Amino acid sequence: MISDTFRLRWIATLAGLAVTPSLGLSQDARDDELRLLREQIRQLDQKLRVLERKQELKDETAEAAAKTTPVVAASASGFSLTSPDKKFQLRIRANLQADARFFIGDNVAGNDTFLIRRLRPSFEGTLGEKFGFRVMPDFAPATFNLLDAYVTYQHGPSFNVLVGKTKAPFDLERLVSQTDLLFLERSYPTSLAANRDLGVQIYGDVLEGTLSYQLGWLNGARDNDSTVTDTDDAKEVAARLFAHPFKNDIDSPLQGLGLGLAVSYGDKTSGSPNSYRTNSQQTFFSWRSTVVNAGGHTRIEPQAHFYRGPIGLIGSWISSKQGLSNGAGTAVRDITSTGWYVAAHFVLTGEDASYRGVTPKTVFSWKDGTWGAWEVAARYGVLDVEDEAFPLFANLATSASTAKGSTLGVNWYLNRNVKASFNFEHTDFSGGVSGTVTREDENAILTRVQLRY
Amino acid sequence: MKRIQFLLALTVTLILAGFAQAKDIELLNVSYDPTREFYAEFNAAFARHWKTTHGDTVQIKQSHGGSGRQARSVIDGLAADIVTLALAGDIDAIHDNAKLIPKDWQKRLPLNSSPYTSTIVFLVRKGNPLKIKDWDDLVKPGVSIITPNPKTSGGARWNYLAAWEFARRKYGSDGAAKEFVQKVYRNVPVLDSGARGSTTTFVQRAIGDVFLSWENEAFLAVKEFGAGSFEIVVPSLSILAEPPVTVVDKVVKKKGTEAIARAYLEYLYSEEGQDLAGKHFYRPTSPAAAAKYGPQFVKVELFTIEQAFGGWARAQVEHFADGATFDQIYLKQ
Repeated sequence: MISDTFRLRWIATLAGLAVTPSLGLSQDARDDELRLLREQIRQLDQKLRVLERKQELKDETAEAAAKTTPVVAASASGFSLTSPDKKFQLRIRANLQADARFFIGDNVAGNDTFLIRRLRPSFEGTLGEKFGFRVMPDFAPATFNLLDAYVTYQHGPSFNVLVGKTKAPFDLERLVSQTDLLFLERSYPTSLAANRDLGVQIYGDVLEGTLSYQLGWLNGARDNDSTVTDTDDAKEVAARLFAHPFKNDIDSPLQGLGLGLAVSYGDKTSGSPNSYRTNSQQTFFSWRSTVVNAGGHTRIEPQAHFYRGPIGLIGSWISSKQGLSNGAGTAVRDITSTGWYVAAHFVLTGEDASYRGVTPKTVFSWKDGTWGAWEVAARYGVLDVEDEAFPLFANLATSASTAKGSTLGVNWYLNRNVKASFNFEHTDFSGGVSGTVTREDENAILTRVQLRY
Repeated sequence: MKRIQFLLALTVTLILAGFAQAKDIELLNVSYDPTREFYAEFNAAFARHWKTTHGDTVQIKQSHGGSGRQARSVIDGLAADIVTLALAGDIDAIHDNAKLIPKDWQKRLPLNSSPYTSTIVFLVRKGNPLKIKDWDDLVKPGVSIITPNPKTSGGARWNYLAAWEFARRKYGSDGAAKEFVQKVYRNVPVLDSGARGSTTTFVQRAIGDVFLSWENEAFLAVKEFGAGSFEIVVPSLSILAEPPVTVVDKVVKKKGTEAIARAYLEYLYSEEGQDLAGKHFYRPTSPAAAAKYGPQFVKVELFTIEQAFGGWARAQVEHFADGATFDQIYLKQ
């Protein structure tokens, strides 16, 4: 808006101009001219005031409209629709992972192939101040699978409730978003933990955000299973504590240290246990077809990560002990499988490494000569099925008892939405052909282009 | 045993006493623009009255804006216990569009539910430099008129209809009236959404030569800014504006405030309510208050909307609905 001072100056200037040409005229003529000019100035002043007022009303209308008009936003974070009071929001996101996988040598059953590994649109948002939701199906590789479908009650940072299906509150690497994974596939501990589970969870952060807790009462999914078909009345309890003891100490070199422990227990009285796969997603261990769940299933996983600048370390160890029957009740035993992994990564372009992926400082552009962010990573992990499983519960001629996997990876973050990854996977085994002959090593090159928003 | 009986009796007494405790009650009165000052004082008076007679503390919240826009807000869900709007048509809209009140809402209180009346006058600048005396002075070239938008403001609709009826009587036809009103709006440089906005435009922003104003708003401007700044001009003919009031049945039933909301509106007809209406330059309807405050109002020939336009429902359809006369004359400009 034009200020009164400006207006007065403007009018004074016009008045000055008005008086100047009248100096050579008679008094009456000068008076008439002055009156005329005054009237012109008055009219101009009115016009100016009207324009100002119209602008003022326009601004008021826009402000009022802003209070009732939903906000539509589109950005690298996705697309969203938000009510003016911000209490209601719908966010639409998606993730597409297109892979190419090549196995070196003919000893691996899997084909060299292109595949859509994940195609996951997600719909999430808030309903009022306290309630939220998320629905995320997966349409890849070829079938529909409802991965997440839940409602949350958000009481506050220290106490929240989730009802529905989502990741079980257990495995550290499983809880990393699939869009932020260091490698194309997760490591061995995830094979021994539930993928998704259905039930009720409470969770929150306490002690000024330095301690997170999760507690779930769940159907009790099989190891690495996301379909969660409940085959019995028994339920599983899972609990996870994860601490960032130095989180609020910005000067501490250990600020990025996180330590945690997860445990779960539940009875499984029917259904069959799941098989185990290598990092290249090739099945290396299967239970005999007659084996069924027949008792308690206990898992425990100490877990940790550490991030400082461009360096990151992450790892966990897991034990999964499940009561199994080899069919017709001829043998019932607790079989323990253990797994562990450790991974290190380094962001070559200097961005911070983190649990939630890398945010590139620049975006890839030929024109500007910028290359986004580059990251290298290495991982070693082991999955071991205890010897008691053989031969009653598994056949050593077809299943290896141990897999040891090494992975080298490069990630190229072209921008916040596009990432290209290259992994070399090497796995060696114990057993798998006969009691004395070991299955041949598995070598694979896995590549991926990921689009997410 | 007696001790147990005593304790039991004491407990029951305490529980009953708890139920009988004074309550804190909150009402929302959704009103139109120029009633701010009147209801601020009336609400305090009613709260005192209710506290004295019932012992409850009542807090009345106010919402003000253009009458049409306020009605829209109630239709859209604003939980008003009471609406006190500029014209019956806006309250009819609450029945028609949201069924929050019965169709015959206007019969529930005396005088068609209009406890006070008002009219439309002209507010001009000191000395009335353009010598504006009547409606036909408004259409002269160079006269700048301030009036709100009839689409959103009840007062603006009264203005519009008063001008229309003046022209119809003077020039003899609706066609001539339409042409006259078109000329009036040709001289309107800016349309505010409500009467209070137009007061701001005319009084504070110093725009325009004449403001078509609610009578009480004109008096308020003179009182606020001094008789040395503005003068009130009463035209030869004007409209009897009857701002009506009603409780919003569905809201008060849900909130449990029906009795107090009805009492609130009935109190507008009390001597204290009527006195406050007169004090704030509304025309009171009670004989005592009318006698007391009558002398401050200039006598003017007033017509009613029923007489000239067959009621609000018809006037709304013919003049203010989308595509009706106002749109035809204003959008052409």
